[in-house]
Amino acid sequence: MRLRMLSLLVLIGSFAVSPLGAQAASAEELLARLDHNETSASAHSVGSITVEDRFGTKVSAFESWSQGADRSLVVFTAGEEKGQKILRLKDTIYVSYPEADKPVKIQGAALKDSVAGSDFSYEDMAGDRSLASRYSPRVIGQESLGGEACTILELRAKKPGVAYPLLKIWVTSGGDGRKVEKYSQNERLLKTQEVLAVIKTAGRTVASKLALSDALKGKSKTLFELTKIELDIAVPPSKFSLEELTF
Amino acid sequence: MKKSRVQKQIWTMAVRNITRRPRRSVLSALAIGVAALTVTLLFSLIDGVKFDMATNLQRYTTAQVLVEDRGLVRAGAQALAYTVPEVSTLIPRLAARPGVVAVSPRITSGGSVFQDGDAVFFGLMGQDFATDPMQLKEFLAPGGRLPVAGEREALISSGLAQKLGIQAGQTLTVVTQTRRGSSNGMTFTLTGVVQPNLGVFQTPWLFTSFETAGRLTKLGDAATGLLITADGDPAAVAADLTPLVTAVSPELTARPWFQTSTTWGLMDLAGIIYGFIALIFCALASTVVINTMLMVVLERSREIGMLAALGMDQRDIRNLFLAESAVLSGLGALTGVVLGCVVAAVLSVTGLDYTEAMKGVNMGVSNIIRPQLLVQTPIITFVLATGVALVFTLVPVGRLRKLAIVDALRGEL
Repeated sequence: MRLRMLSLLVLIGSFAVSPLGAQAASAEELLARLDHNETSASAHSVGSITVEDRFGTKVSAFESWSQGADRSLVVFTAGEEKGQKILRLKDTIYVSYPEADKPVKIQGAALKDSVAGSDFSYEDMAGDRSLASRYSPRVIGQESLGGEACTILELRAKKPGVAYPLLKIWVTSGGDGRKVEKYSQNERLLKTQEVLAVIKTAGRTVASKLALSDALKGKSKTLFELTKIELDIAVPPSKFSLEELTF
Repeated sequence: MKKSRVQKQIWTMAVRNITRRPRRSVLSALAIGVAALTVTLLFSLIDGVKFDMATNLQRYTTAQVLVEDRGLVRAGAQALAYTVPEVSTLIPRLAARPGVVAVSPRITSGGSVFQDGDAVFFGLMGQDFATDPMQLKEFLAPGGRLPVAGEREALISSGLAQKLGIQAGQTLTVVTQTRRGSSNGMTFTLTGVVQPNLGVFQTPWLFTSFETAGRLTKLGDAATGLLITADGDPAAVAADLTPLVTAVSPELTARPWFQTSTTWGLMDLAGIIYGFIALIFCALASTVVINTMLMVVLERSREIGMLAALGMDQRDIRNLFLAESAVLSGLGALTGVVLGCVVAAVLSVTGLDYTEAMKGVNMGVSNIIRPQLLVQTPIITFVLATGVALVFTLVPVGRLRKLAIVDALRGEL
């Protein structure tokens, strides 16, 4: 399970249950299953982001498309962000706004800004999607989560400059992420993501409801829900172009 | 001999004695004069800064009364979280109150422009250009015009224009945070460049209409502040408006302008501190008078003995020297005060240019500071300079308290 995917871009088809067996797996094997499960050839999804903060509850609906691990497009269809589009091309994030004539490339400190007011940042969306290429895993324990036996993987960044130097992921034996905790360099908890529900589609199991909280924000809480997901469908490559962002 | 006649003779003798050593007398008077000139300029500069700060606070930040959320001061960057709600209904109600001339809503936040791989941050202000006390049209560069309300048009400060290398007529796409922490972007057509006469506005700023800023920040029917232009006592107007604003939200406050700024509060303290500095100036200058009077007393010990032997009482002898000191310091102080007034009057026209020093400094003081010469300033300075000198003169004159005529006649005091 990947943070990025967990949040807004569930669209990418993460959390598919792999048929790999129930036998005990090493940390490296579990991480490989996670990486494998979270990527699909393409995906289309419809869902909503519900944010609860000091002002109350805010709901934004979105539709998204993805292709492989590097390209995705999110279009907000209702709520305060209606009309906004977020395009991810590898490490680069572009956002277009209804009243802006051209897309804005999000960079620098702005990558830490919130997506749609949620506890999810642009930084969470960017970067290499392969956990194995960026983190060294080790098993630090076992825990039952929602009645399901999970292995707790501790992932430490191989190189500096990674948004979250330390991750703890609760993984099922099939390689599905059930919970993620993201930590800073000094091992302070920054964000927590938890799978609340899953749906089955095209023979795979996908997380359909995710809760995300930002420890630094205090009382805020974000809920991602998918109402529809289609995997391995045909998505025209033009969908992931800057032209798609122009209104 | 009548007392008044003695007093008159004392003053005559004092003036005559002063002219006996003209160079020394001029030096003493000069010391007091320089101190009086400096103090006059110091006071007029402080008054100039206070006047300027009061004017700027009311023009750029608060008007005469400011309505805002109590949490705004503490919030800092998350200013949009603390707003004045229901402004469309609140503004007419406030405007109908006695003493209120205009109510102008504002949205103050921040935004960024992404250029060449870097984010350039700027202050964002949405205002009602017609009623806002800032009156940005007065700072418009030639060829510019005010943005139309509700349109995607904006003015930029010269600081932002320089930083981005853009000018009026071009477009600018900006991103800002909304009240709920989301982001929103907008492309503006720049209708002009402004340079308000305040250091903080030399930094990057973007000004657009209140309506447009509201749309950009998704504030809805809210503002970050309401600026009340009032023609009465600001404190009384604020007190009158308080029940109206707290009825909308108990977190709202209506405060007179002088209660909104910590810097303004510090100016009163600064006034006391500068008063002490002025006192020290005068005291330092008075050391020259002490020295002069001490020398005078020692030089004229035989003369003092003679006057005492002829029947002049000790108090009159002391008064003679005090009169000399009063004339010296009075003349010096008068000259210094007059010169100080002239210099202050000239500087109040030409101004002191602190543009570079004040760049980016948010003290609410203009780039060009003009000293203000109040009526009481020369009077206070004159009294201070002369009074301190007289008090200090008591030190050498005190030697005459135990005057022994015989010793004095021998030249031993």
